[in-house]
Amino acid sequence: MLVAMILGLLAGIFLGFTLNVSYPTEYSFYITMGLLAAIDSILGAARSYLEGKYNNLIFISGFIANAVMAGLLAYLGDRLGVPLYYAAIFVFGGRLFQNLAVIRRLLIDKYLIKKDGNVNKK
Amino acid sequence: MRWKAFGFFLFCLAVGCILVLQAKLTNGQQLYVSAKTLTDYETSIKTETEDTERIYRLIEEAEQKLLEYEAMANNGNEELRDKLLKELEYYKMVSGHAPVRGEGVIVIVDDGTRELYEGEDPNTVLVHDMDILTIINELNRSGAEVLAVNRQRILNTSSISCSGYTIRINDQFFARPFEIRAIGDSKRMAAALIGPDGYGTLLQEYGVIFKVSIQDDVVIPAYMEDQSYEYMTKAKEGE
Repeated sequence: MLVAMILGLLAGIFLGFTLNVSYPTEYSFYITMGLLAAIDSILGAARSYLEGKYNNLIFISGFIANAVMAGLLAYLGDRLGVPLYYAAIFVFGGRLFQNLAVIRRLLIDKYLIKKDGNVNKK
Repeated sequence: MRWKAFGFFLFCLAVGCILVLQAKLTNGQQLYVSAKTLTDYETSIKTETEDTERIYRLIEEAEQKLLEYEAMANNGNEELRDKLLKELEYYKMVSGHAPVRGEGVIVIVDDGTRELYEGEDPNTVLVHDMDILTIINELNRSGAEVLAVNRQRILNTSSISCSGYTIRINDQFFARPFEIRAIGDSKRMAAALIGPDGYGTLLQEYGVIFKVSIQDDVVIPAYMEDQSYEYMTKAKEGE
């Protein structure tokens, strides 16, 4: 599954460079918010997969709800003149690092410390 | 499990793809555009389009005029010459190079003759350049078409300044009394000056002599000074 993720990301980046699609700049801000939500979801999924409690429904619903919330906040902030999208950026950004830290620990536990069996027993 | 992996592959594919597209699109420039900037741009676009429409109208008018002239040139020179002469007369009148007449007001301002209070500054009953300027401004505000002070035509380049006991108008010196002639809506101009809040009323309260008379026929002479322009040149319309 992690392999599929990494492969997908690489293939997507390659595809993005080869494709020549353009869309109106007006929406690019909302797309960025959606991207942030998506990256957050991917890392969250990787983490829960490594923890062994991954659930498809949670992943998909989480992604959609997060993206919609981020877009709504950005739109509302636009209307109110207050940069409310900061909330989404901070939360997603913070969670990215949090998830990354957990994944790192899990991976280290799984592949490095396991081999060095003495460490665990102490 | 395989389906899940495939789904993830697709999801990550989409994310990576959009990531790169977005990066290509924005080129690292500031992405966030606030609603205020949007409305600002909207208004500026609106004014620009209005401007272009105005310029198009000007072009149309000019083309029509050109057609008229061409038609007249074909019909014979007499008519064209007459029309050009008429236009010349009009511009002479407007620019102050021809004497004009019409309904208007004559304002007479003079230094006050009342006794001063003890220790009072005599300046309060004298006519100053600022008084004349304010009266001219009031007259213009109430629809004066042409003005003259002591038979000096007031143009857009005219200056009025203080020089001791005299006032300098268009580089000529004048002493009291001052006679301001204005052509325009005479009742409106007179009312603006001698109304309860008018400047004339204020001057009268100070003791300055201030008289307004409404006339059916006011004659204002042409501008007599030399007019030469060194710095300005004609700009093209719409620049």
